[in-house]
This record gives sequence, structure tokens and C-alpha cells, in this order.
Amino acid sequence: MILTQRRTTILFFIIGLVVAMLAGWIAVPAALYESIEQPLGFSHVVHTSDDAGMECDDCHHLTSEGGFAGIPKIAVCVDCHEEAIGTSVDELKLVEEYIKPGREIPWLVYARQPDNAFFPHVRHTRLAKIPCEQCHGDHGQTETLRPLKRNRFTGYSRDIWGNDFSGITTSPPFSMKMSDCVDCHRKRGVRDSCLACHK
Amino acid sequence: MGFSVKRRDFLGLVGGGAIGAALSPAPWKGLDDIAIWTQNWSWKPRLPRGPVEVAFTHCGLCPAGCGLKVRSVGGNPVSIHGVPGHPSSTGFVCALGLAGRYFSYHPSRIVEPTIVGTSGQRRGISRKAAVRQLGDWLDKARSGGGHGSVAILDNHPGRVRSLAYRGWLATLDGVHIKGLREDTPINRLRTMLDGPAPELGLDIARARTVLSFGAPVLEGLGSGGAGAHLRGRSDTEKPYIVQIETRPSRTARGADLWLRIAPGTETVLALGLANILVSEGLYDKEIIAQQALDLDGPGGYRELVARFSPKQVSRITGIDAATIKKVARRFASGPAVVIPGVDPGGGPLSAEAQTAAFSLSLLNGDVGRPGGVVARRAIPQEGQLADTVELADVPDGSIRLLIVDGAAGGCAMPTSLLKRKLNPSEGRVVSLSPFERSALHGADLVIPSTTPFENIDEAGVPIDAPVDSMGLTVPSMRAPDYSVDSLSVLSMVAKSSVVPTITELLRGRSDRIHAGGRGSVFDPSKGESVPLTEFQTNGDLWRALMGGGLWTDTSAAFTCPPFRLMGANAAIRDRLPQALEQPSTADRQAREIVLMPFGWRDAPGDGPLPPVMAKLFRETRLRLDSRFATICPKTAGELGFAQGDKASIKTSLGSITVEVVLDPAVVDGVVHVAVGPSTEAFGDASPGKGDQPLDLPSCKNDDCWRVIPAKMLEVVS
Repeated sequence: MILTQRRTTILFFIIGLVVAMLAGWIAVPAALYESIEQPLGFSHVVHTSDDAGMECDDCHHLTSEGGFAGIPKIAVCVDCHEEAIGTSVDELKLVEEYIKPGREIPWLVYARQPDNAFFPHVRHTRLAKIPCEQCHGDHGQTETLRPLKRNRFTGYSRDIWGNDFSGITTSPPFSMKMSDCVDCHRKRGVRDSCLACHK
Repeated sequence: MGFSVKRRDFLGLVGGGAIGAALSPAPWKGLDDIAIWTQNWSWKPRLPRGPVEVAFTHCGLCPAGCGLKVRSVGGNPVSIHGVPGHPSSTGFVCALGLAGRYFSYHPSRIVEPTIVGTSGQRRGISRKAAVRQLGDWLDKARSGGGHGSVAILDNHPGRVRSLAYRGWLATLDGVHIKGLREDTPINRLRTMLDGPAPELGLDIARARTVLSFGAPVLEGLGSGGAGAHLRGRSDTEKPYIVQIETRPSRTARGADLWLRIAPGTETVLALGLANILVSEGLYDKEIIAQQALDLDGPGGYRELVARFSPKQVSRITGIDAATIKKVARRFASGPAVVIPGVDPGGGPLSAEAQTAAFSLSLLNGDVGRPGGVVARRAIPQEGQLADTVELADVPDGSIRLLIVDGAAGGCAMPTSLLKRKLNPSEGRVVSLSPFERSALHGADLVIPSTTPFENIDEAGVPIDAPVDSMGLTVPSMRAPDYSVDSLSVLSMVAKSSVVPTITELLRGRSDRIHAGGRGSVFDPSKGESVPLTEFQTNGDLWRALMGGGLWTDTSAAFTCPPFRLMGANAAIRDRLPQALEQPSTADRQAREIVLMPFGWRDAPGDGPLPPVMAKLFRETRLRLDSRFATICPKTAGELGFAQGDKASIKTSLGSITVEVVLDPAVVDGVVHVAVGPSTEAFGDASPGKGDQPLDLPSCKNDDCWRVIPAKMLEVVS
């Protein structure tokens, strides 16, 4: 009788353990992030192909003062897309809704850091020689833009926490939490005081 | 046999769930998200996004007018730096200037016009109603009073805005009152010269000796960075600095010689030094013979200073006779600058002390020679202007309407002094300050104006600038709708176009400078100056100034005119011998205590502190605020106080409660308390929350409040 009772308790313990782990690893991540589509389809591969012949820094360049230009404005797109190239839905949308009215495309940024973090691209890419892919992954090789996964609580992109919900990433793209910044700075012997990033 | 769930099973389920949750990232991620969520509530202000821009301007927080490089994102300044090579500030910016952009968001900022109602409570009103009320009071003041019944207290005199004030006041038979600044005493020297005198400046950089009566020479006096340059120069190049001060200030500690003088005895020391110069024949005999109008004869300067023997002076000032002689001989050895200091909190020296101090410059032949007092060329002005006077020269009870300009002058003044100048029954005060500050406590009406980084204006010409200059405080952020330019207020009240806009005035001065064709213009983006003659049109010069450029004049030859060593004012002349009647230092120690308020040079005397500085003050005690009283251990012991004790400092007007801080460098019998908002009362400038020491002097008979007799009592809880 006692043995049966103990087995039942163990069974309940295991059920609780499994359910909680499933919730923690699968249900919570699914519920925590909302998926938001980009306003327009865009293929990096097409633009960097031999036909188009563009380089990454044609659009994502550093300014003369060292600032990062980020996502290009439509002034860059208009050089080629003043008139529609092809008949795809996205192409027509680009020309009719953004190029002709002169409206900027409200791209959703996967790697946007919070306002209180100062992140100079120039120091990381030029001085530290960190490749873009280390944080941004193989974004330049994608056929389409994936939806932005936005944290319902904080508004942060999932890319900041990292794709692996455990928060541990061992291969690019690495997560971009404050602890990741600090770890990397310490590993490279770079100043990691609060004021280094929070100015 | 049926299946039943026991309590033990339920606990097993919960335990398993807890361990399962702990083995998943959900709790840790949840904690992280909650922490971030609390930082991103919807009502928290968000930084703007937009293009990064760099612009050049000048600081308007004090008369130093340092050159600034402002970096903005989306039109909002995010950082401020100095401008290397700037002719005046040479790349320096003080802590206050670096944090200047925070003033626009300061919690003590006034966001609507307010008026004191019949119940004595301040309440908000519309701008239209405020202007109408100001107009009514103006009409009443004009109809009920004569000359000087309407006055403007200008906290930053010398700007073109000041000329507009004077032009407006000329139509009302009003007076323009110069607010207190560190260069105010130099006007005393001008009154000692016979006939019209030019604008004067101190050539500290080329002086052999600097005789400073409490001036913050090494803490940012005059142009930004001057103190740092003085400290950085080699001993053979830099002037010998003699600091005459009661308080162990940074300048006192860094000076070549610090004379720890008894409070309020500066007149005695200055005349004692003059005694040695005259008796030993160390003065400039040629100039004195030709230009001095009152050296000899009955009641002359020679007769006056003969009474101030080193022995007598030593007895009163507490400085030994040998040191006094040594200082006098050093002073006479070459060009020297005498600076009767204006403390940001303690105010100016007495009029007779200023006169006695400047008589040393005249004796030494320093007026008009490099390394002494130099003259600045004037830019011609147009139109009829009202008289401009010092507050001390305004008759008591004469003002029926006083408008207080909103500029930051850097010096605080006791409310009791302003009240004394007002008509007792009908005197009204209208403040145009953007912040709650001590001077507001007596204001009947407040119409908030813009902060220095929101409005175009003219930067100051610092006291140590040997030549005139013009730089603009180009706005680097948009002024909020609730603030208004002071000239716009006058224009609304005048109901006509009599009052020009500030841009018209600045443009007019720029055009007159261009027409003069003198001097050079510094380009902050290139770090170099070009002659003014290279600017083809006046529009070119205006664009350069709007780009943060600085025009500087050429120096002018100046021959010292005839002068009076005891000044032209008979009342001051009569008071000079009375300085000997002060009690000796030994007698003074028997008295209870002398309260000497003071202000920090890098904190606005009567204005708010930016948040980052308040944090520094509070957390590090780098600057002791108005909650602390510094006193020497000997005096404290005699009065029964120890370090950290609470004490009440009391005068006939009230009392303040302070914490005792012991410092053996403070002179016996003196207690120092800083003026300015208490950092504990951050954002709250209501009475009793800041500027406390200035609530204590009565200012009944004079305009000097740096020496206040007081009692120091134990706080009874």
C-alpha cells in the first residue's frame, strides 16, 4: 500500500516536472513573442547577386563621421526603382506606396538596441574587426525577410535575447544582451565600465 | 480499489512543477523582461531618433560665454564639448556648462505664468492675463511715481538685450539696474576716473602679481579655462597670486600666498598696503603727480593711509605686519591686477573696500598698462537709452514696478535687499525667470522665459578679456510653448513696435561691427581666426556668428585720465577712515560668530543645479551645500560643537539648521554656509528649501551681506 502511494507521488512529481519544462521551453516562448511581418518583401540575395552587383556597404555604410547609416532610405532605392522592375506584388508596392509618394519604408529592425545603450558600429567593425555576421547572422544571404519576433512585455526584438530561448548561443548570430557585451569586452580587454555604453 | 489524490501527491506535483520550471529558462527570462519592462513604461520620455548633427554655439549660463560644440540627435542635444582654440575659453567648459542641456527639463522649471492672489497663495494664470496684469501695474506705476518708478533688474547687463531694455525704459522715465556679476566692481574703478571712462577689463594673463580679494582666480574667474591656464603655466611665467580670503577655497589653497584675513577687514588691509606703497615711495610717482587729484592736502589720500600703519592693520586683519610689507613690495614690483571679488553667494565687497582696493591699481600706475587694467573699444550705439545704475545706487522705496530679467547672472542676492528698494505700499515685482529661484519668493507675478540653450542671445564678455567680443548663444533646442522671450513680453505690454526683437538687435550690432572693419572672427569648425576684412558683406559676418563664430576686437591704446584715489562719492570717502574703528581679531573672537555665506563658482548662485551635479553633490560631498556649516575646530569647541552636530544659526530675521563640518583652515570666529538650492530639496526651491543663508542678512543699511553677525545655537529636538 505504502509502495503504491509512493509511486503515485512520484508519478505526480514527474507530471509536474514535464509539464513545467514543456511550458518553460515551448509554451512560454511561443506566447511571449508576437510575430510581425515586415512592410515589404525584400531579397538580399537578389540584390547582392552578380546581376545586381551590389555590395553590402552600398546600402549599409558608415558615414564620414563614423556613424552607421543603418537601413537605407528610399533615396537609395529610387536610383534603381524609380519605375517598377518586374511585376511582383512587393515591387509594385514599393514603387506605388513608398517611392512615388516619397514615404520612407517603416522597416522593422531586428537588432535595435534600447535607447540607453550607445553602440558605435565603427569601433566594432573597424577597430575590433568583428564581422557583421557575428551579430546579424547570414542576413545578407536570405531570400526573404523573416517576421520580427517582438517581446510583448518589453518590445525588444528576439534577436537581442538570442534565438535559443535558453539565452545561450554558441555560434553566430550571437545574442546581444548586456551580459554578452560585457563578456566580449572582458575577453578582449576592452573597457567595460557602465559609462562605456550608457553615456 | 479506487484512485485517490492525496495531499502528498499534490505536493509532488507542485514540487515537480517548480523544479521543471527552474530547469527551463522561463523564470530567468521573466525576471529579465520584468526588469526591462519597468524601464520602458509608456510615460517615460523617449530619446528622439534622427540625424546626428554637430553645431557650434556659446554658453549663456554665465558671463564667461565659453565656446561650445553641441552634438544633437533628431534635433535634441545629447552632448556638449568645448571648442579647442576658442579665443576666450580655449576649449574649456565647466561642469555646469557640460550639463547645461539638462536645464530645459529641470523639475524646478516654471511651466505657466503665476500670480500671488489676495490670499497670498501663488496660482496659475494664462499668459494673456499675465501680460494684461503687467500692463495694469505699469500704468499704475507710471501715474503714481516719478523718475525710476519703473525698473528692470538686468542679470546679464552689457548685451544688446540690455540696450533694448534701456531703450524701452527711456520711454517710461525708468531706470536700468545692473544685476550682480563678477565684473560689477570694475564699475567702481570707472567712477574713480575723472570724466567719461571706457569699458575696462583686467589683463590677468600678463600681470606680474594678482591681488585677489576673495575672487575665484583659479576656479574659473572670467573666461573659461583661465584658471586652468594659470595653474598650468610655469612659475616663471605665471603671475604671483595673493589670495585674501577667510574661506579655504580652492583658489586660497592653490595661491602662491594666502592671507587668512579677519572677516570684513579688506578695506583696512588695502589701505595698509597703500600706506607702505606711499611711505616707501613705491608708487608710480610720475602718474600720481600728473593725474591724482586727491593725494595731498587736508583730508587727502596720503593723510588717510598714514593712519593705517602695518601694526594697526595687523591688529585688525590678523595678518602679521611683515607679510603685509612683503605683499606691498611684491605688488609694486611690476604690473599688477587687483580684483575685488564678487562671491556667487556672498556678494560683493563693501563699496569702500572696492574703492580702497582699486586705489592700489591707480597708485601702481596699472590703469592703462598691459598686465593691469586695459580699456576696450566701444561699438557705437543708437537711440535714446535710460540710465543704467547699480542696485546700491537706487534710492530705497523708489521702485513701484520692478521687472527681473530671467538671465542667469551667476550671483545670488538677498530678497531683503530687493524689498528695500521697493515702494513699501505699492511696489510690485515681476519675474521673467524660467526657474523657481530665491529671487522669486517675493515676486508678485512670474512669466516664465526661455533657458539659455533655447533662445538666441549674446554671450558675455568676461572680466579678463582685454578686448571686446561678440558671440551668440545660438539655440540648440526648441523653446517650449509655455516660455516666452523677455523682449516679447515687453513688446506685448508696449502694444507697439517700440521694442525690437532680439534677432533684430543682434543683427544690428553685427552690422555695426562689420562697418567698423576691426578685429577678427574665429571659425570653430576650423579652429582658426580670419580678419574681419575678409568678410565681404555684413550677411557673411552674421552667418559666421550664427555658426558659433566669435568676433574679437583689436586692442586700443588708453592713457589713464585724472583720477581720485578715494573716489568721487563723498559718502564712501567719509567711510574709509571708519574702517580703523573695527574691533581687533582678539576682540572678534569674543563675539559669538560671523556667518559668511558663499557660493560655488561652478554652480549657479541663485539658480538650479542640473540633476547630474545634484547627484555628485549629494553622493560625494565634493561640494557642501546649504545644509552644512564649515567652522574651525577651535571656534566649534568654544561654542560646544563637534563634527556632525546639528546647529542652528540665528539672526534677527530667522534661523537655519545646519550640520557642523570642522575644517582647521577656516578663520577663527567664522562659519561658512553655501548659498544655493539644497540637493536634498532637489527641484523644490520654495522658501526654506534653498538659498537659506541669504534669508538671514537684514541689508537694512548697506548693500553688502558677506559678513553677518549671528548666533550659533544647539538644536533642541
